[in-house]
Amino acid sequence: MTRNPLTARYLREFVPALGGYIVVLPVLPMWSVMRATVRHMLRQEMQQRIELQAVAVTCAVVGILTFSVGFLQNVKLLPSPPWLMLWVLPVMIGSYGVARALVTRRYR
Amino acid sequence: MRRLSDKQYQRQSMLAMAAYVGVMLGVWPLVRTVTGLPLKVLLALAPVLPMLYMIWLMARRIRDSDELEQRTHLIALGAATGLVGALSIIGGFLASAQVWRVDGTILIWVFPALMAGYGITRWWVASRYGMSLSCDDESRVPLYQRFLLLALTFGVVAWCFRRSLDDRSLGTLCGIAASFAVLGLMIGIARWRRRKHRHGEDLP
Repeated sequence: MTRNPLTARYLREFVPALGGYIVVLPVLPMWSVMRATVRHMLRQEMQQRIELQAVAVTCAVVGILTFSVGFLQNVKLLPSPPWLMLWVLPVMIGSYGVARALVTRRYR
Repeated sequence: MRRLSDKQYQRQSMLAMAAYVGVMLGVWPLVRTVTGLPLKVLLALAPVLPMLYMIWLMARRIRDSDELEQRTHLIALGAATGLVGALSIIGGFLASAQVWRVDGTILIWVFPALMAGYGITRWWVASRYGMSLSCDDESRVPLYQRFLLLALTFGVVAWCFRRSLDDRSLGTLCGIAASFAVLGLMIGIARWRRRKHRHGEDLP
């Protein structure tokens, strides 16, 4: 089926603009969220220590996990579907929550 | 556990990176030749070991730092985690909708992205607090050598993965290696010129 040139031009102009809107829009409030979170983490010395340990553990867990999975995918020992990237943030949030709870219990 | 001096930390980091390059060159290619699944998994995960050592070194360094340094570490790690988390969710949705044609092997980039975000943010935060992170004095590994080593690391990874990676990913790796090499050379030349100039001033 041949596409109408006017429809093709419409899609050519509309789709990238919509894509840009979808991509750029979440990034702007994300900056405010990050700033507020970091300020909240720094409110007192003990809090800073707990948050630092929790965030460091999160980075280590996510780093080791993604690096290992990436290597296994590269030799085709694991499948590599495109949606796998969607799991990075939930794993980050999960490991941060667990690490923070454990560190807080240690300092209690 | 005894506290690591900056010099020891630099030396052990370089050793970890050298071990990583060694594993990527000597051990990792064997993964395609062996047949047993457990051995294949072990060989495929061999490069993770030097990285674990590197993470352990960083954890010790953060633990031993003073309160102001810990503040910069926390801001940098928090910002890097937030940024990578946000980018991964955006990238994941774009990849799922097939707007961005990329498969799950991009996960291997999460850790380097975290480290890059951490390094850049920490440098920025430290400069705002009036701390110096240039680490380019005589007692440590010069900055230009570290950039050249990074270039070598990325170059080796690109070479090792040249068959399994698509053209775009291979191009990205080569581009990063070339960028680090150029940056290392620029810093090295600037350092050499600075020293030459200083030497010229010292002469009667």
